[in-house]
Amino acid sequence: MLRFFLTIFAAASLGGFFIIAGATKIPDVAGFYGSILNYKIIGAGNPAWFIALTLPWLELIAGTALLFPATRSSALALILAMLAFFQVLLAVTLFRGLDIQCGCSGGSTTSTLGAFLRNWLLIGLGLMLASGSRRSPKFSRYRLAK
Amino acid sequence: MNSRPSLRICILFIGLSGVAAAIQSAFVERPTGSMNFGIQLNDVNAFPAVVWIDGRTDPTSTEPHLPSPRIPLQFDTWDTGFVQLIEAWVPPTPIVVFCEGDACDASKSIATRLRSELAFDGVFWLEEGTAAFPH
Repeated sequence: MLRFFLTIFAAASLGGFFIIAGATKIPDVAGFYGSILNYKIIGAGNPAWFIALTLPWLELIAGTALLFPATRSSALALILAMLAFFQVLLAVTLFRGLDIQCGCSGGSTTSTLGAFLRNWLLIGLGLMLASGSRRSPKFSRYRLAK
Repeated sequence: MNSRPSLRICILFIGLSGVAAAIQSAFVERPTGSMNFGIQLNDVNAFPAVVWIDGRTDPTSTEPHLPSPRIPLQFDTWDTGFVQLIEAWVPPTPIVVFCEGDACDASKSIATRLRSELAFDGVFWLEEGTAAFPH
């Protein structure tokens, strides 16, 4: 039963974070576009604009899908892939000594280092969820047996 | 719960995001020439009037060499600062955003957003930031 609640907690926390991150960026595409350019990895143009338009929707959809057991594992795979990508990006940014706000959610003033540390927590939640999902069939049998 | 990720579902999510983004792109316009609207203090001084936007992380820190009046505007308190700006700004007076030193990027992000929200090309970010102002 504890594992069940931990799974719900992890899914709600991680999914909720991604829903908020996506939903706050969608109305402010121009601001997010500026944040992407601040990383100085890609210049102004269509590729950066494409990312600014697409990534928030992907975060919103994946975050929402994480809340539903039927789509949870696929959403989790996408979210962990996004988090891994963000961590590489943030690590490179820290290494380059760029003093920028992470642009992780619309209007957020989280520093690059703050976002880097927070993402480890999110990855931990994701791994906990992945671990729980692998064991869930056993748990389901346990519940059926009871 | 399906414990194995499905590639099909992942592709479906990515596809849905692409469709949503494509629909949204019909209603929003990419900021033109973003990052190419940096301006040097000498050029700002040539304007007859200018509205200064203080994009520093801590706009309460008082430094006498900074221009005055200046409107504090940060992303986390955007609405408050934006209202102040609308009250103080008389179009087509140029708007110049500065932030700390010459390594910060907040001024560029704020100027990009202001250009979009005001639909006004006279918004610039100050090159060198606060370091541009003589002590």
